[in-house]
Amino acid sequence: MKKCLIVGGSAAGMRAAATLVTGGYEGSVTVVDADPHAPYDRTMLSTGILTGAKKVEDAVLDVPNGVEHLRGIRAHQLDTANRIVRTDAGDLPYTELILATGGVAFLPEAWRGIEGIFTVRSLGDINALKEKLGTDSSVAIVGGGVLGMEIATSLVELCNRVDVIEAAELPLGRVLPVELGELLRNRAASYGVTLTCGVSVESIDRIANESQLTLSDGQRISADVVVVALGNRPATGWLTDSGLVIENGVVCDGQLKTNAPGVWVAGDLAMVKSETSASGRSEHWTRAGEHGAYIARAILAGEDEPEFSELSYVWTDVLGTRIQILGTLSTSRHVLIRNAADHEQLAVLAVTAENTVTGAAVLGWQRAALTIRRQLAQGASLEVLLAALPTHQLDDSTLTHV
Amino acid sequence: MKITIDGSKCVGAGNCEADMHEVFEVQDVGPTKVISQPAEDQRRLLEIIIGNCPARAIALEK
Repeated sequence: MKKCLIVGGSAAGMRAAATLVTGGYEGSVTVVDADPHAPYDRTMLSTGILTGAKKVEDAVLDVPNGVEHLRGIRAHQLDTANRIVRTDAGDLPYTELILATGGVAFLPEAWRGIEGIFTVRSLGDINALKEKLGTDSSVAIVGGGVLGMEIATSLVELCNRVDVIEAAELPLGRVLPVELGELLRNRAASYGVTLTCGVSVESIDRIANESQLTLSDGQRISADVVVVALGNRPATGWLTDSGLVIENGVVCDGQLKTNAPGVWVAGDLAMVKSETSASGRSEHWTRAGEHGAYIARAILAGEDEPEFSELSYVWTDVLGTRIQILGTLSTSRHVLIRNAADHEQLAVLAVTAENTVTGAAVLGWQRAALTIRRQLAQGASLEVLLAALPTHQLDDSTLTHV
Repeated sequence: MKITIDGSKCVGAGNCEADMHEVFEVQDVGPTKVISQPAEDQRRLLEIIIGNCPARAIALEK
């Protein structure tokens, strides 16, 4: 009988498992996960779970009927020749293997073991952080990316003071175009977040129950609690001697296949090497789930599928604004448009030299995001896309040439 | 068969409306609305749409 083994029970792993069983996979489906908790939705950790607006039960993902879920069990070695994963609970054989161990929150070496410093990746991390927070707490968040800004947004409701220190000139710089990054930076103070951009944290010292952060511009910040949100590193440690190609993730082709037969890789762990826009490593929840579903479909089909090519989609709620990012923004030209009915709602379109729109970042304006998504799927030109959008104003003054 | 959207989870991504615009309608702000109930023979497509929702906000009641 076939045995599909999935290592990692988060977005990618659980989506793969669900797709396999609903698709009628003829064999057993086992998910093994090092996290001692039930599978849960990580996107809710830094938002609803942190503020307390959501209960842990709200974030729990269903384990579909027919899926064996082994929690609190760590995989520590992969033997691709004999198709066995060695775990705390013994050897698990497979006919097909999906690697989805995701990422580990990055914490610089020098800051490890210092009291009062937290990262946010798991439910355990959130519980530990919440225990230290009070209404009179001051919190310093190192890193103003999606996670750092989500945590800041959540903590302004709970704590006395929230500082964010971002090394780049703008927050969310990896996902947002400059125009929208500037807008968010300018909005931070009125939202209660003290955002300092363009400086890095040189050192953190713990003195008398308080963390002292020394910044690269000489400024000092003291905080009761420090949260480090500097992205994650792929959890490849257990695969070192597996024979798989490791290069900032497990290297795979456009079909998410690794160099070992019957072994796929999904989500944050995957370093995709292909000619498509899906190349590279992603740290986004939607991408992880799509990877899982794609691999499951390929396993069900039993033959090669067209390369993974889903349009990238990221959403976040930061400083009171819903942000949606679709496709790819790295084009020569950006065009800014505003909702005629509400100037706070806007979108930046990424346009190629051939006048094709490849992606967009949308602030608050969900209907525009939907139209753009549809048009992107059809490879629309700027003119066609603008004609399809809700009533809007083109902001000529902000046309930028990157 | 009844389709519901959990307004506390919906992010307005619009995958659902893109696939079934007669049932789902994204709003400018706030959660997507169910504007009509789907026909019984659309169950398979609905299951795919539910699987494609990035926020897992859609549920199908018998």
